[in-house]
Amino acid sequence: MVKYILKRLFQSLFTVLLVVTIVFLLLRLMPTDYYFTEDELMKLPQEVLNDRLQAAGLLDPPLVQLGRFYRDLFTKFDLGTSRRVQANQPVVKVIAGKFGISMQMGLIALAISIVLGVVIGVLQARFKDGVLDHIGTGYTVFVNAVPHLVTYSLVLAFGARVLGLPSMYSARKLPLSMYLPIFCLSIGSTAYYMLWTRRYMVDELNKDYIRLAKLKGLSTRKVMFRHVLKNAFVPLVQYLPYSILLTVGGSLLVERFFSVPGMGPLLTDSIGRYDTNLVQALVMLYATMGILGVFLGDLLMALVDPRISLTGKGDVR
Amino acid sequence: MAKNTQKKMPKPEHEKTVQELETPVPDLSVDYSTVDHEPKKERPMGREHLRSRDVMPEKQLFEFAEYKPQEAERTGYSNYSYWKSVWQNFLKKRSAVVMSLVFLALFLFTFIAPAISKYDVNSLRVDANLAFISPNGEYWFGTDNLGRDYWSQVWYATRASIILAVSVSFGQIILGVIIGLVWGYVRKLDRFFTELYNLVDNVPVIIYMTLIAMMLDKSMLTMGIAMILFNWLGTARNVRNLVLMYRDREYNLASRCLGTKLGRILFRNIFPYLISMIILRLALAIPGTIAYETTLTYLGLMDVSMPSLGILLRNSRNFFLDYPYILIFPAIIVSIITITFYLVGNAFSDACDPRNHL
Amino acid sequence: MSEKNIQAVDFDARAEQILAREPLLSAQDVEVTFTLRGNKLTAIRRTSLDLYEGETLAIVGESGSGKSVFTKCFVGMLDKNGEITHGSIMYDGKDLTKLTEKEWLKVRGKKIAMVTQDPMTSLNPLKTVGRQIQEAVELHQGLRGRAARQETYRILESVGISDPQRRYRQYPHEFSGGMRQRVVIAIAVACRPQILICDEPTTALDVTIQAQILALIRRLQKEQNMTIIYITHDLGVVANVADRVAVMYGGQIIEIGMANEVFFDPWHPYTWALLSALPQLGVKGEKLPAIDGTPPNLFNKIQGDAFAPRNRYALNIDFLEEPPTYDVTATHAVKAWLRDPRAPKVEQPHAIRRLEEQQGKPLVTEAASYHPHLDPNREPLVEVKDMQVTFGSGRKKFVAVDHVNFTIYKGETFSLVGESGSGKTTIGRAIVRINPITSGEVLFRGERISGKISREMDTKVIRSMQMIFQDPMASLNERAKVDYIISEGLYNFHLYKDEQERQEKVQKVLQEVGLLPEFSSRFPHEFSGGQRQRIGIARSLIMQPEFIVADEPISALDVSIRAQVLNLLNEMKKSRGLTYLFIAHDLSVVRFISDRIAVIHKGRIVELAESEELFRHPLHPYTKALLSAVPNPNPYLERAKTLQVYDPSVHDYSVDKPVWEEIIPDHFVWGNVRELDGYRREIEN
Repeated sequence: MVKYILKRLFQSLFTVLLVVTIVFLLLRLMPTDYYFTEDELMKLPQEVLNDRLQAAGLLDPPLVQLGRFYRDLFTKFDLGTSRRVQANQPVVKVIAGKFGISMQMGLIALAISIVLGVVIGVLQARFKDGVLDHIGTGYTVFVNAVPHLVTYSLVLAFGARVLGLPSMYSARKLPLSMYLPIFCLSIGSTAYYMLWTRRYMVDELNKDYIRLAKLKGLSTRKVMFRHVLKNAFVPLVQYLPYSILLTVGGSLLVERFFSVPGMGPLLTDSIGRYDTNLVQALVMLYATMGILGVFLGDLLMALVDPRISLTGKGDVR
Repeated sequence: MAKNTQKKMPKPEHEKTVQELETPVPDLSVDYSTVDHEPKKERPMGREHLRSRDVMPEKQLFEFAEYKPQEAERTGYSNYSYWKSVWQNFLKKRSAVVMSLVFLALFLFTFIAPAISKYDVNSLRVDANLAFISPNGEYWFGTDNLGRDYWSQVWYATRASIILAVSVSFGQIILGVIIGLVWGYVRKLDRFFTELYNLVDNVPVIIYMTLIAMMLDKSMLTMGIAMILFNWLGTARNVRNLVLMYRDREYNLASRCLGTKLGRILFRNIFPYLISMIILRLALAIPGTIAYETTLTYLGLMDVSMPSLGILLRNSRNFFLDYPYILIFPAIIVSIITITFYLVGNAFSDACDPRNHL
Repeated sequence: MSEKNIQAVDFDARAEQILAREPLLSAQDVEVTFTLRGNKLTAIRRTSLDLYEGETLAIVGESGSGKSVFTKCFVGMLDKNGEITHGSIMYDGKDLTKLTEKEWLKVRGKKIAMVTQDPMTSLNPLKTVGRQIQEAVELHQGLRGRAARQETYRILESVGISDPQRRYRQYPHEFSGGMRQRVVIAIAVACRPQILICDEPTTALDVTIQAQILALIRRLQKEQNMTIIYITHDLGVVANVADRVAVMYGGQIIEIGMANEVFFDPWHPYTWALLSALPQLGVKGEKLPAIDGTPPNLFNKIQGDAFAPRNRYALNIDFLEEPPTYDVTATHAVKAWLRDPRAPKVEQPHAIRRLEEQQGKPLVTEAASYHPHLDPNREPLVEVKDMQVTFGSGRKKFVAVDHVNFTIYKGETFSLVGESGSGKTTIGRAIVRINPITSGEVLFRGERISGKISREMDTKVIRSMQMIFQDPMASLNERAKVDYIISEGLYNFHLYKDEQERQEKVQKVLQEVGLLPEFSSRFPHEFSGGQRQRIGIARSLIMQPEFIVADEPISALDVSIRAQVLNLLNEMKKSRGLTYLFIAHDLSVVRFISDRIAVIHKGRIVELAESEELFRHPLHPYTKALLSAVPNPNPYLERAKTLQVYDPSVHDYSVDKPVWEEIIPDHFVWGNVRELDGYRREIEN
């Protein structure tokens, strides 16, 4: 088992490095103008610019640059400095200043959605084809089908006009201005947890062992609590670490929609302004979180499901 | 009535069907009668004429009826047809059927709307004085923040979005199906595709999309292709899993025993089983693509020179609190399109499930 | 497991006991209707049944006869869309059809428990086996904590699971199929029910395991004084367990009586047909009396006797009116017009009388006792030399077929018998080149056909070797018409001049397998299992093969249908001079159809002999165990038999290595020198 975990960790590390390397090399294909601010580009003569690039090592062959990047990363945990988003700030510091707010809102929203989604999903399955089930299904259809932008607009219209909540995030209006973004963040994942909880519950309820449990003389309620619930949660648990870790990245759409100064806008900003070092760091962060999430999910599954032994070959999830 | 039936009863030779006369079905089993009891030579009753008791006297009731192996053979089959049953089940889903009709009308209208419109979408002019005019007889959907006619923009955008969504969805499904078939059937390539899948899937796709937008360009064509290139994953995995499920089924082994070539097996034996899943995926890909388009536009990753529903929605963000119609028109249309395809897809997949058939 | 002896039974004494008592449970005129998307299906058509304390009542019927649905009413577990629309079920002074869900909790499990069919899916995969049993112990015996745990250990032990402390903590996936079924039985027993319903509890299991489970159920019944309803389609199992037998067809009980009455003196033509179609009662070399057609479609309204269209003894009135129930004896009743005084007098078919005379062995005709292997000019068709097949690699390497040797001669039916997972299917598939072999070789007419072979050779192999598959539901492409399915081989090698010739060939082969020519334009899902299996046979026959691998071709079929397919295979053997490799797990079928039999155990053939010789002189202990486990449809014999259990640890191969040896001409055994000497002495005596 230890061997398996080490093997998987090694594989994950390899995948992360592969992604980072590809992105790193792709970014070297772009013009180097973006090393400088607009001001510098206008004012400084070409020779000075070249000298500076030379000094920063940006004119070296890409592979040399790649080697330097990994050396700095592994020896000093140095990911370089941001050039344009926050001029000359170390990338690590830029990210450190942003991810707190994203994660805070993300985790609150995730907690809300799991509680709400699971409870409603269970009730839907228990009273299948009842009123609540129909309302719940209607909700999931709406949320899944209609683009989130539309839903958020509706929430914003309702929240701002009817409830008088701030329509934008503002550090001075806390926690009031966080309500709408958090609510929007949880809309989609609530629907997700409702849908899958209901589906897994219904699947489990139709299985043979439920019939045997009833034949034992257990009441429907006991069958639900002792057998169905746990079995229905097992497949959901697998995605939990992934969801938790990815809150670090924030939500591109929601954060931008409500002007939250979090990780979401940072990614598009940094790419939009060609802040190479920042882009590299962000890609690495996202990839690490994603891959780690999948890995932890598999581990967690093995803990809750005795049928899975940690020796099987890695397969498609 | 009783008399009538009785008259008909003895069936003359010339009335028998061709089949009864010409194609004797070989008897596969020992007739007990030859072993155990002497069958009566004369069997006056053809059993198909017997419908009610009053047609014959009691004595006849207790005589042996004629035995027909063909009739016994016919007890087996039903008139069930898979696709007919799918279609009938689908038609029972009222909401899906109604919504598809509404959608069809909407799509047709995107061609009619520009014709009856007072303004042409290609020659709209910016005029700050005309900004935010509420819908009226001149501007049917009002004007936007730059004073341009909203009606012509909305319908142009609708058509553009539908066409984009449909083509991107088809593209990603076709790519997904092809990759999935190869992935599932060619054992040697399984590892390669699995790694490729994990590589793309483990990192949020939006990162790849942003990189492409920045490094290439933001035109609808480029971004459409990018969407295809990164959204085939789900379909491919689904196809692959189904292929794995079907390829060692006994009927495929039978085909291999008969020397059927790989291409024919894929096309005749496996592909037909994927159709329902492919249609479901296709139907769900359309709302997915529209949502994706709005997100990309909103994040500024897509060209904004000509209106699409995503662009209209994005532009509405800053104004709809004061001018709700700016949001309402595109939002309603987007919702109709996406909900329609979502419902149709699910209804179709339900209808395809053999468990829901009789 | 020492449950070996089954004592003989005195049915007359049982009958007296029953007649003296009041019924424990009494179902009257029960009708069950299912609603499927607006269509109504009447699964149980007003049928009645009395159950008496302490008896074992077997309900026999084919799939769709309603036997399962009927008994589900006794525990209130009908599917949601089903409803009891008429009748009553009286138990303990209450009408079970009128109980609310809350009242059911006092009956279900506590008074009436049930063992379900599939042990692989009946247990919760995420709970330990012990917890699942203990749940029932706590609920019904009122024990808690330590006491409940001790009781669970005791129950585990009583159902034959050794080392209960360790087994308690294990999960279902760590148990084999037979062990899981013991756990399911343990759960039912832990409820301490008065009535235990066993719904095909051994259908999914191997014969040797089945025999053990049957013995276990019988022992538990005696210990706990339970009344048992046993549902099955297998008449051999019925003979093993039942005091009384009820035969169901088309949602009704059509004959009921003491086991000896139903087996030796049945009066419903359906019971006759069912018994006559048993290969054990057949005459080897002749056709089995098969039942044409398939059970009725219960969506249609049934007029008269449901069996009438398939009944060779049908009277005119059978098509018009449902027969009343006639008493044959005080305990034996039949629902057939043939028992009416006005009906012509008929004798029971010969096969029924043979049940007593033949003791469950097929007769062998002169023609069938021609043995190709005794023919000096016999010609080897397929030779398997030292075949080994392994799956996986490294630590997970699994040897499916272990150095197997045999020769199949032209014109014979060679059977390969073994339990699930023994590797028999793998051998069949390796011969027709679906699975590759790891080492050794396969020769066809003296030429090597395993491994890499030339294109022409490949074509030749395909055209002369075909395969018939086990599951008729899975072996036909549902999305293609019968016409395409049958012509597939023709298309691949372009074996026809023009479209017309192709169609003629299809029509001809359809007729040959007893199907109507009009069937070619239909899709497979329109057909019943037996018809589909014949379509599969037609698909192979159209290639005009010399050699056919038939992989369990009848095990997925209903009892009444099996004879059709067996007859067809025998017919084709005669008319086309075919050679078969017949793969099966059911020795009674194998005995009827084969010339020679090879017994395979865990990838190795342990014994090979001419079929009657094998039944007369089984040598290897595994063969003996297998033979003793096969249920015999004669209740007296079945209950008097001694069950032998195979224990592989009797072989000591540490020094003395085993070999594959021809002990007497054409009788091979696997064993070491000491064992072989023993076998030789055994044969001489």
